[in-house]
Amino acid sequence: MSLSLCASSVANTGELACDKSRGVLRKLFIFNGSVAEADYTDGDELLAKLVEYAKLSKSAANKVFPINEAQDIVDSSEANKEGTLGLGFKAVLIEGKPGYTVKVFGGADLLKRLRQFNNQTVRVLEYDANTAIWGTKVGTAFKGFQAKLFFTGNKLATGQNVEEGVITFSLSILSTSEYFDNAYYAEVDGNIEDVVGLLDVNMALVSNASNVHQISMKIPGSSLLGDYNIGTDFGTAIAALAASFSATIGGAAMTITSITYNSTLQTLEVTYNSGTYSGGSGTIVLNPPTPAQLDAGDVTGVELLSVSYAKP
Amino acid sequence: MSEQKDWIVFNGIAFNAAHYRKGKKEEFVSEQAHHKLSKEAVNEVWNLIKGEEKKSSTEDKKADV
Repeated sequence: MSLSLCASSVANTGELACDKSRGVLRKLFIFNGSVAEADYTDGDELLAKLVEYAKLSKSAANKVFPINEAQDIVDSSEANKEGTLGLGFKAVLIEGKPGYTVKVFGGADLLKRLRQFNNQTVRVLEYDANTAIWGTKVGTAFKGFQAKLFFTGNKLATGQNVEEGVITFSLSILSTSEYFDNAYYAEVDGNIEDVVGLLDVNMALVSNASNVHQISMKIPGSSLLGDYNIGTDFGTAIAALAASFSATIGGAAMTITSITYNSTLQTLEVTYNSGTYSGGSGTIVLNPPTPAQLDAGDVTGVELLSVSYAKP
Repeated sequence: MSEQKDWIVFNGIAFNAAHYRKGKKEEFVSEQAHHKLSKEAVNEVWNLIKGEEKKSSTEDKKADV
C-alpha cells in the first residue's frame, strides 16, 4: 500500500514513439469560429473546412483570416516569475505567458487591413513546418488559441536589413492552459496556401438614368490616384451571377430586371424594375453574391460588400 | 427570391427571365431599351424568356446583328 494521491492527480509519464511537438511557425490564421468534430475526422477534411471558411463573408462566425507566411520568428514569451527563500531555495511562482514576434511580407494596403486587428482578442490557429495545424478544443469543437495581435510596419527602410515590405506583429497568447495543456494538432497533406484571404470590394453608385444604375466595384487602397477597379478583371463574370443579387428600396424588395458589365464606365449596370423604382422612395440597398457564390462563378479572392444609397 | 433564380445571359447581359415570363413584351422592350439591342436580338431574347428556346437559356449567346 503506497501512501500517494498520484493515481488521481497525475498521468503516467510514458511516451509514444514519434510524439509530435510544435515545429517552426509557417502560417497563422485568425479564426474565431470552430470546427465541429464531424468535420475533422482527418487532416484533409480539416484543411478543406478551413479553405471553405476562408471564403465566407467576413461577417460570418466561422470566417478564417489567413496571415502571410512567416519569414522570421522570435520567442518573446514573458519569463517565468521566480521566488527564492533565504537559505537558497528557488522555484517558479508564476508561469510566463507565451508570446512571439513574427515578420511577414506585405505592403501598405495589407498593413492597414491587419492593423484593424490590433489589440483585439481573437483566436488563432498555427500551421507549422511539420504540416500540423495546432489549436485547442472547447468541448469537442476545434478552435484557435485566444490571443492578441499587434501589427506594425511600413516604416522607412534603412538599407541595413531586410525591412522593406516587412510587417512585424506580436502574438500574445492569453491562456497557458489552452496553449500548453489543451493543445491539439492535426497533420494535413494538402496545400495550406489553398486557404486564401479575400479582398474587400466596395460598391458605390456612380451615376444613373432613372432606374438604370451604374455601380462601381473597387478595392480600397493606399494609392492617392484611386482605388483598384475590379471591373476589367471580373465585371462580366460578376454580371453573369445576376441571380445572386438582390435589392430593396425603402426596405421593400425591388426586382432587378437585368445586370450587365459596362466596359466603358467600368461599372456594373443594374436595371431595377421600373414600376417598383418609380413608386419607391428612401434608401436603396444592393446585396451582392456571397464570396462562395462569387468563387463558384470564377470571381476569386474578393468579397463584394453591400451598398446602401439614397434613391437619386 | 426564387423568381431571381431564372435568368438568361445574352450577349453579356443577364436578364431576369422569371420576372418577364408572365408579362408583356412591351414592358420588357421598354425597360431594357438602354441596352440598344437590335430588333432581332430583342426577339431572340424574348423567345428565350418565353421558353421557346429553353434549351439555350443558360448559354451566353451572341446577338446576331
